[in-house]
Amino acid sequence: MKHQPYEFWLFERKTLSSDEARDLEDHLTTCDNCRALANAWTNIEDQILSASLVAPLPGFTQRWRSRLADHRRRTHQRQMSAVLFTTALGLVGLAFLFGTELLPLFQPAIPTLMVWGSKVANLVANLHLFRMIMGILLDASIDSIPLVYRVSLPLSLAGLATLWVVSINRFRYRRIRKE
Amino acid sequence: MGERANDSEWIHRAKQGDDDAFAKLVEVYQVPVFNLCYRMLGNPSEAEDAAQETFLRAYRGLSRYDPKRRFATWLLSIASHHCIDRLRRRRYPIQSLDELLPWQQKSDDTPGPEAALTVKEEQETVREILEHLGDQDRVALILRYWYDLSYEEIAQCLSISVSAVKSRLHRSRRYLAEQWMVRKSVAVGASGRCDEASAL
Repeated sequence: MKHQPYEFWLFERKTLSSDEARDLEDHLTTCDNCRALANAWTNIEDQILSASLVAPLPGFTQRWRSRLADHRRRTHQRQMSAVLFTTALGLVGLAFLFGTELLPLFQPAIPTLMVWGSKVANLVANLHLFRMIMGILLDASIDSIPLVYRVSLPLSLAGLATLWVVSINRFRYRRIRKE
Repeated sequence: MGERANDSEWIHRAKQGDDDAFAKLVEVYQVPVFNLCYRMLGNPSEAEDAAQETFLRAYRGLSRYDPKRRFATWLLSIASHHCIDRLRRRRYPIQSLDELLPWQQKSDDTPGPEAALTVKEEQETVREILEHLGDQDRVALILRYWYDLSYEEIAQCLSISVSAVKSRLHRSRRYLAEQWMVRKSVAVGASGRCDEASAL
């Protein structure tokens, strides 16, 4: 038995012309298979068409607003991160570019810088040594010096230092006035 | 699900950055969008997430919306593609549709307890059969029967040709009818069995 085009038509019954509909009905009276298929589809179609729309829980719009706000916040954070990352990348790029360009210019100064560096290191080491020696001397002599000298000696040194500073200032002032 | 008079005004205002106007569109179209997501995904919480994401994508892509198209069709198109993407990514089996209880049926016009039980059972059968349809076939069927979209609109929605829509719908309908027959144990007479050789 020939089933084409009836197998197609039985799913499209509403769009058939009157001749096609009549041909289909004739076929369905003689073909059990197509009739069963047609009945099954009619049942299914009725069920689908009677099925109602399912609605979300109340507050859907409010939840959408929250989601939008969250999305905006995350987008802003992503943009900030992208800007920071790009800036950092640019700085590293510039440092690399200019570093390689400027390094030859500093090449002759490197030995001088190294000499000065060692001098500074020596000075710091000497100062440290001087402080240690003075500490040892004071520790050793503090008990053998009488109390009167321990008080009067720093006072005298302080007075002499003051006198020295004042004298230098006065000489400088007079010289300026003469000029 | 026709275009409402205020839609174009709200769309225009939303395009200019008015969130309240877009929220009105969300309010109006939440049910059709959610229903499509639910019918596709079969899980209310996932459908909620998909529907929310659909509106977010619509909001972000509003400048690309062509006013010549129906806004509802455009939204359903976004929802369809999003649901199909989700189903592709999904690694676990589809959950049962019995989770409908905490969610709302929009209308309840069932006749009486016994008849209601029969109707519910038959609708469950349809849902179960629908779950086993391919994603692309299912979405075409849903758009056709739940939203009454024309073949052209479905084709536009799914970015496929009209003949592909017809082909998918025919395949879906045939599959549904055959599965219905299997589940209802419909006996077919031997004389009427399709003889493929003679059909050709």
